[in-house]
Amino acid sequence: MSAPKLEVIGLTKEYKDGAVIAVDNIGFAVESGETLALLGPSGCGKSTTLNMIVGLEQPSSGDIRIDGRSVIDVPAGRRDIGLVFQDYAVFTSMSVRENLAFGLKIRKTDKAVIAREVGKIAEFLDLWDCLDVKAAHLSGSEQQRVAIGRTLATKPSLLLLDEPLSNLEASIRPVVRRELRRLQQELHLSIIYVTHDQTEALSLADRVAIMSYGKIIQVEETLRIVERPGHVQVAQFLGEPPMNILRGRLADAEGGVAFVCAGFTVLFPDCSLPEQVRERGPNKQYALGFRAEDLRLISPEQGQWQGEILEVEIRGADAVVNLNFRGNPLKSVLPGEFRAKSGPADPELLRNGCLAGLALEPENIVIFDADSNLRLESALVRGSAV
Amino acid sequence: MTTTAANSGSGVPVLEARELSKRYGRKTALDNVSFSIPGESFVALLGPAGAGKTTTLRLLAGLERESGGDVLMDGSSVAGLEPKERDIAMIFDNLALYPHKTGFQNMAGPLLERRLPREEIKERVDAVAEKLRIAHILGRLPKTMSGGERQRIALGRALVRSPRVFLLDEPLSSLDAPLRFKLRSELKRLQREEKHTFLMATPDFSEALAVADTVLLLRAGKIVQESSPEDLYACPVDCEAALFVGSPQISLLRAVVREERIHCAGMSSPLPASLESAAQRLRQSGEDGFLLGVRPERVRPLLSPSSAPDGKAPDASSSSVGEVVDIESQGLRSIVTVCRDKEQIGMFCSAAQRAEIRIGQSLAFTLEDWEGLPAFDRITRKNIVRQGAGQG
Repeated sequence: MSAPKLEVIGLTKEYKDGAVIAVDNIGFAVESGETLALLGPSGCGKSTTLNMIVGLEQPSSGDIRIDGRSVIDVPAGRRDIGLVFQDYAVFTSMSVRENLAFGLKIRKTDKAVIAREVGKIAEFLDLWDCLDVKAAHLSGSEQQRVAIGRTLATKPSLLLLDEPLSNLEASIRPVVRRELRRLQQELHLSIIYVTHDQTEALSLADRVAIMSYGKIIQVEETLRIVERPGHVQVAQFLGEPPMNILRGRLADAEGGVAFVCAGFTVLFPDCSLPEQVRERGPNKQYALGFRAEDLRLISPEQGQWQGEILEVEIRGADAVVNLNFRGNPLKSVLPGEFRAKSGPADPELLRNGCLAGLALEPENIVIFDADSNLRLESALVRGSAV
Repeated sequence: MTTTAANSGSGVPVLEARELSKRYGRKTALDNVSFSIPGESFVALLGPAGAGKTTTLRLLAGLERESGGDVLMDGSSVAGLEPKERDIAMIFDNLALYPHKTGFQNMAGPLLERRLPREEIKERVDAVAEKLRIAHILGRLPKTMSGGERQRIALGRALVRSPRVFLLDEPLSSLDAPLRFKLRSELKRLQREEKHTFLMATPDFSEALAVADTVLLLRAGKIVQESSPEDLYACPVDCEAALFVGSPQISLLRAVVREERIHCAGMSSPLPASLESAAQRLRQSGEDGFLLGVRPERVRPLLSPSSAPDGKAPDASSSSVGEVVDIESQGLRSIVTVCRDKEQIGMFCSAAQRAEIRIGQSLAFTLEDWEGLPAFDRITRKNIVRQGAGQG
């Protein structure tokens, strides 16, 4: 087994003698050929982490290893890491060709080799036609392509992309995301992709690390992290819209499970508590998470709980209904195309201020421990109590 | 659902632009634009950067002088009036706060200028703060607030007033996505509950669809479509509007009608009722080809029977095969793009289906419901179904 491309071990960064902890004992690995997204809101410590990996900031403690070797004492610029920022940082006074050759030139690479490499990159990134155009005359997405090309030309062993799409117009982002996916596929690069935008993280990364207040709260395969959030904060961050969360106690009741919240009780029929919950006793607090896609709206008489419709947000292919459920905000996704001509399935159901019945299958409920915010392994069990 | 919010009682719009134009030298920023904003409605002015959104708002607010046309409020021209005399509030992106003043003092600013009684000011600020969920930070200084809290205070500062119309110029575009979603639904609720009249400029179609009663689609200084959000999505006026609204993008596929059947991307179906009159007009003009607008949620990948939701094999004529050229994960589902005969077709697949799909493989797909699909002229790129409905 070869060592991972990058290993971050117990990495911590403190400022003001420990009064501020920007990065708090984080650890993760990036395998060769893998893309890991570092996802979190602004101010969560992503950039500080990136700066330490590049070598622009010195960690307070912990280790950073590339190909199994610690690089803590290797200065920035000698770590064999390519970095692309959100503001492109191309040299606008230079031509595209000069930009692409820049990194190789300062490494005093042979001229013939430079010409060959620049040609390859230009071909790959479809920059042939503008090789002799000044970078200043390019569009934002073309400049970003040049910035990526310039970094790739030096063949870094690890590529760090820091919010690379943030400055691009929304309409061009899907196009650039697609280009980046092709790049990953064909070049098998090892990439750390830093972003606050879950769309980018989910569409580009093999695995996603969610960062919050200096800590990594979950690292998971992209295809599983939305489905299986391991932490309440992940559940409340991922998904459009994110999961609904309600807090309360759980107890066996006649005909199902009672969810006892402040001021009201909800009965989930035809299911029973998992052993794990029963063992912890009746006074434990839980956070129940469920997807807006799984919360169905039915007629008020049928639903065993009812919510007030606050407003309906049309999304095109579907709509998000904002509900007030006894003081708690809930969201439900109504599937189906909203056609003006035929109208939604049941327009009576969707008037602002109306009551709607709510229905939720017990298997779609995720249980989190309300103290640790961590997910429980077990879920509600179908069928009545034993 | 009602089509537009034209139910403001009197029928006279609160704000109206009549043949409004603005030229800067030789460049025409706004070209003969007319629309009206009914009272208590939320209208979105949607368009890409450079379409003329900000110019429109500035003309309405009186911050710039029009080159032609007129602005009316409650039916009377306000052309000669200064911005202050128009009873319009304009809200910008990146509103600045006074750093040495508390949240309350920042929000109360516009009311203090008007020398309102203290009690009334406090009542107003508290009511708006409650709606924006910032009551608990009113005593704090801006530097101790998060970005979202600062933006809410700034919005609250504008919203403590009750002008006839609020003009909002991309008020949320500097915020991170989760906060943007939250604030936009709060804005919508505030507008409805306080019975405000909002005109909001935005480049983001999803924002426009989510909050607006009516969307004005602005392109190169002209309004190209005025419709409800549902209608804008389902019946875009032309190919460009279809491509601008919706993510992932709509696929525009070559289609022909032969012997009462429609053929498209290797599939065929009996001509849907929604396309009958358009097909008839085409036939009369000696054409039979057009572009069919197919949104990704209409197409379904066909994998091994176990992964099909209903296990039902579709009618052979309504399915086709293409080569997978891209897979984009969205979390719970993925967008698969296949290429067939140089045309790209997007569709959604579940996480389970995705595990079976590889780039480069061939993938069967089906379009089951052809009813209501928009269709466009190949040359003019205009929607040929809308024409039949008597829409301009």
